[in-house]
Amino acid sequence: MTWTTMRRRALTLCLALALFLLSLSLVACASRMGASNAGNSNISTSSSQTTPTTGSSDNSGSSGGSNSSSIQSINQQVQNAVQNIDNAQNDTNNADATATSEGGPPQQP
Amino acid sequence: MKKFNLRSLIKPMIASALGLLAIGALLPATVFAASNQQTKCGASDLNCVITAGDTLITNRQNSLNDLKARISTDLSANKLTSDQASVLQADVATNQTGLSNLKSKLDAETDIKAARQDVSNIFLQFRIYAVVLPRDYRRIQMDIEINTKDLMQGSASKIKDAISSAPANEQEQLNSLFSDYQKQVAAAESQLDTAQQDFPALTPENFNQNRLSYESTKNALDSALKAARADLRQAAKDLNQMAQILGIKK
Repeated sequence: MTWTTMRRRALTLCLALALFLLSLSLVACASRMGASNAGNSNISTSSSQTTPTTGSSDNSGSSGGSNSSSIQSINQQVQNAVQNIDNAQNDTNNADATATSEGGPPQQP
Repeated sequence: MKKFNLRSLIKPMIASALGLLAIGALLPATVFAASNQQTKCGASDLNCVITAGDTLITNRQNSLNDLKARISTDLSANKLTSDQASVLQADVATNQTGLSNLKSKLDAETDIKAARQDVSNIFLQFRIYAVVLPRDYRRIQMDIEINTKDLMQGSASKIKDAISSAPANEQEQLNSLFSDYQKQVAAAESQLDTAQQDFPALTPENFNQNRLSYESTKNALDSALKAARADLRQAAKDLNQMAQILGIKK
């Protein structure tokens, strides 16, 4: 095998490596753009799976004998309400995450 | 014939690979950045400026629609009272109407300078992303914290009754938990009173003209909300323990 042939093979190898890396970076680029598009509509994403609890409680008027079950019910409402606060905090965090896009001077097209 | 030396090829290959890696790492970042930037319009391209401005307005309208949906959902789920929801919905409506009017003005512009000013006003007058959404989502959070605090305060007499009918050997522990419960709820109330006073200062005007004061107020609000949340969580833990003790008795 001559020097020229070997050099040509090495260059071909380099070229193949370059193409491989380029394709990798394009894939990474596409996935990042996809993620960014998904993120744009992510301002209010808190899950609201919990039972509604806040606002009012109808825990008045039950008899003294049902005190314990009444407490269990109040407890459930309160635990759900605390979960609702956490969800609301997530929404706030999401809103803050997009706030940076508008923090500076007006962008002109 | 010249002998082939593999070593002589290793260096250029590594250099090429490193160079390509650097390009590969940079390329997505630049493409990503470009995708986030607006189109750069020509100095006299009025249509381009109008189209870009319309896109900025549409994005903000969509985000406000998301907020509106969140308020409606929380109202339906009794997380917010109708009064609380009304305040928030009114703010969304004000901003949506304002943006809609601005869009009409922008679309009718025939002078590029005026069109560019309209685009600037999307930011300067509304600050939907920088001010309105962060503020209004914080208000939802605060309202939910207030409602949780009200629920806890409203339940205090029931808890007290349940404790008084518990066996004597559990009273001390229950009373201790109840005392802390009340202390935490009171602390949360105090924090929430402070938090409510911070909202009026969170305006686009203050953001534009008095940024330091704006940020300071926002930080104070965050601290109050965080502290109230911690107090309420601790009170909820106390209640959970009380419920367990009382539940075992049953």
